[in-house]
Amino acid sequence: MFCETYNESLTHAAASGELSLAEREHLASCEPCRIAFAEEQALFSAIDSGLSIAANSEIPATLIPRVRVALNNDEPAPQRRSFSFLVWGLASAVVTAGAVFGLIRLSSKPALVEPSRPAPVAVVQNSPERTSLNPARTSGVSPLQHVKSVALAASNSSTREFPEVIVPPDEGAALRRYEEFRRKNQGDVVLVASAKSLDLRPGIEPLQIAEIEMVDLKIPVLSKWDSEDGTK
Amino acid sequence: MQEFILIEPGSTAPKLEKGEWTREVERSALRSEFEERLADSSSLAFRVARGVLRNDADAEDIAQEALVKAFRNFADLRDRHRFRAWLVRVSFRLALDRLRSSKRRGMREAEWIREQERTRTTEFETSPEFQQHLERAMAELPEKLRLVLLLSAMDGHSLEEVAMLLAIPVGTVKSRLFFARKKLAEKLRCFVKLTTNR
Repeated sequence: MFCETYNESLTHAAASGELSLAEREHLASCEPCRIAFAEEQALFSAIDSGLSIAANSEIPATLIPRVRVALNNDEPAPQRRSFSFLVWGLASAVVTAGAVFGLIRLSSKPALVEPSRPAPVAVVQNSPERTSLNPARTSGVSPLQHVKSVALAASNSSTREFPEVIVPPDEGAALRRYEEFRRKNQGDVVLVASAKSLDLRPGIEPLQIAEIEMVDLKIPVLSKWDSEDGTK
Repeated sequence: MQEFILIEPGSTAPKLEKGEWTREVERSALRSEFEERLADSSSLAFRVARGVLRNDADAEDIAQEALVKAFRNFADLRDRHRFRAWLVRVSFRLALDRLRSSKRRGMREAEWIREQERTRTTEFETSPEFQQHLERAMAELPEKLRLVLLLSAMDGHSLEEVAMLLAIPVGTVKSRLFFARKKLAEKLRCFVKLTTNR
């Protein structure tokens, strides 16, 4: 047991292994403290030895092979999974934002198709029996233009001259009736349209005006007697 | 760019997509780098676990678990010091969790006593009785003090390295070490006196 004055400091010194000058001098002069200090040093030495044994135990030979087997059976590194979670999170956020934006735009626009209207089923295709919604487009042109367009259509038959028309079933029947009517009266329609394009009625020839010939005006001089008595 | 694939003799090349091949190559590179550190890191993990559990079999289990976890996170832990610090923390945590399992603790204590009886020696400092008392006293220390004590007692660990492993200042390591040793001395003093007076 240390002297009361040095009890604390010598215990501290034994634990830390550092002795001050005053402590050294006291140990040199005090035998009980020297013996107690030696005991404390032995205790700490035993603790350190025991700690060293405990902390540096031999590694079992089976540990590394076990770890290798476990690694071989283990799935790929999860940091890639966390990366993919990030990518999927971003992608889903973008898709959600796009969907919300699209919904907002759709709700702000007027409906393209009236809800009460039936869905279009009849399709009038670009065929020889096709119907144009605008007859003036074919017949309402000047003869020269019509010839040109026909020639163009003949030279390039693959290109469609008119768009396909999608109409509801009730309008499809009316459209077919109109097409038959138009086919029957095609000649008259073309004639009327051509006349319209030339601003003339049917059966009236266009006015032809000959060129005006400009000649010098010649005024003959009157005889003298004719002018005096008025008789010849 | 041309890709080279290593195929073991007698095996057939697995049919993998390009992305899968890239992942496989990355994984192989990680694995070979991890293998280089395996011997060193396995001893660290085992000893930390052993210091807590006082049982080789349990410590081996914990070391394996910690190393597999370390490999899973190895892409982020390639820095050597960071890896070792992470491994120490994980091994210590896993070992503490295992220690808290009361059923296992009972079995371990019984096994420990049997093991000590088999290898009883007369040397005081290295006697199994003292070692048993010491390790019990260590188990009663606060976790922070116990880990510093263990790491400092491991071969080749300076105070600076312990500070780096635990990401604390060297001064903190010194003070924790001092208090840990002092507490151990308080617990073991009576036992030592009794033994030496016999």
